[in-house]
Amino acid sequence: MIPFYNDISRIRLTRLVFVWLFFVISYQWWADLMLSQLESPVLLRLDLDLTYWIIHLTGIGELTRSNYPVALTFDITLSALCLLTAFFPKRIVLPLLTGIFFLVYCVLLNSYQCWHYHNIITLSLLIVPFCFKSLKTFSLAFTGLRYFVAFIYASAAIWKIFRGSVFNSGQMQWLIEHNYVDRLAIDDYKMNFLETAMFNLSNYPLLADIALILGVSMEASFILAFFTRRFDYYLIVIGVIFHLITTILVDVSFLQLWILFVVFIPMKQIERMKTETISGVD
Amino acid sequence: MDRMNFFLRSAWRQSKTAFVFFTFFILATIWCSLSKIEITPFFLWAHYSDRQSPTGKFDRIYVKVNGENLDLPNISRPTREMIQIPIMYFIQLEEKSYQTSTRHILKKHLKNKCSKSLYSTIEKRLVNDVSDRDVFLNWLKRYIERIFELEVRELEVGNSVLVFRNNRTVEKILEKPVAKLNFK
Repeated sequence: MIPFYNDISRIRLTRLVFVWLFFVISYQWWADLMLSQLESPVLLRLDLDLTYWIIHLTGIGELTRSNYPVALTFDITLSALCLLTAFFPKRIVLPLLTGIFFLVYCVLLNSYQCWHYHNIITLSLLIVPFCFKSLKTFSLAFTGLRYFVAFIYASAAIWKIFRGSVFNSGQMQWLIEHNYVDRLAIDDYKMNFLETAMFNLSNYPLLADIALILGVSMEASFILAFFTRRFDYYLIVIGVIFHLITTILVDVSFLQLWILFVVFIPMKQIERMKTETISGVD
Repeated sequence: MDRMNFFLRSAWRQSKTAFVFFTFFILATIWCSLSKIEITPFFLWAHYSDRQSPTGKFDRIYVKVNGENLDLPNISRPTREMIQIPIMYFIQLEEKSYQTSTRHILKKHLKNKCSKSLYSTIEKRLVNDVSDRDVFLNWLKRYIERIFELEVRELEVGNSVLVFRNNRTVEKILEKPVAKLNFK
């Protein structure tokens, strides 16, 4: 069964998603990672990703690299579009433009960073449902997205199971050491309490192995989403806990992707948001 | 029960176009996963799935600015990676004489099928070549100056080997410079 969203639920979701995107972009500004802040990067790594090829072939990469005012205009437009979409959620052209600008930004950044990160570019797919005017198509796309999010975590677990890394003794010890080695190589680096606790886990290989199996089990639990919606709330909690642990253990937060869990918020809850809006709470 | 096939069945009833789109998306994702090729938005979610054995030894890149090691662990991870990963890729390019998989595919499928000038434009937009060597180091200088707010007079990048000692501290046992540039 596909839950059908009404106009007000859709507006609530639009605001939530695009305000989040605005914060993601604001973080990129803070981290000096907007195109205009990259100081005209030189190297680019596209591998065999044809989407990257197409975007670079348009010449937009070359243009933003060689022309600072163009890069700055691009960055400001992208930031403004996120906010404008949140303020005017019924203007379909705004999420469409935001989606295009966002995808181009992510592709260019990943190319110059020489690594095809998923932590931001995946959000391009979250924008897709909002590009459809019809509520029926929106509902279909949003429900489809729920399966995609479940697939992200389920396939991450399946890869680790098929490649055998989950039951590979010493795998987690290696991951922790791999994550901490740079910091420990600096003479005067002082680890904080959490870092010390997590690094010490690598001194107990059995405990570290159990931690990895637990982590992969958390990812694998998303397979449930393909069969029932009954555990959707639990999946949000599991997802957040999983990312908190990976942030500390292996320095991978994927914080930007947390908004994807919005697809697991039950329809009734969104409806309740609607009632609150009508009664003037919002 | 809310199975995936129920979703596809509902999608078929609601909109044939949506059904075709979802089916294409699912098949393309499966194909990319099986072929281990990533074409956005058909992502591979295989991070950290390679089997590893703890040897206590890690190959790392290093950056020296004005003769001192750059303090990378103290800046945010995304910014740090904007410095670290291009250097890792730069070292790979230097080792492979700038012959990448992208260049190989371009040569194989496009070189004889389009004009010289078009091929040269495509190549310029999609791959780096040896003439980018010093341009890259100049970019690295600018970006480091921006992030660390210091003047870079001398820059050196290279490979290093870090090992865990028995007392769980870390020692650098090897440093091999790959490129050095003086900006004085």
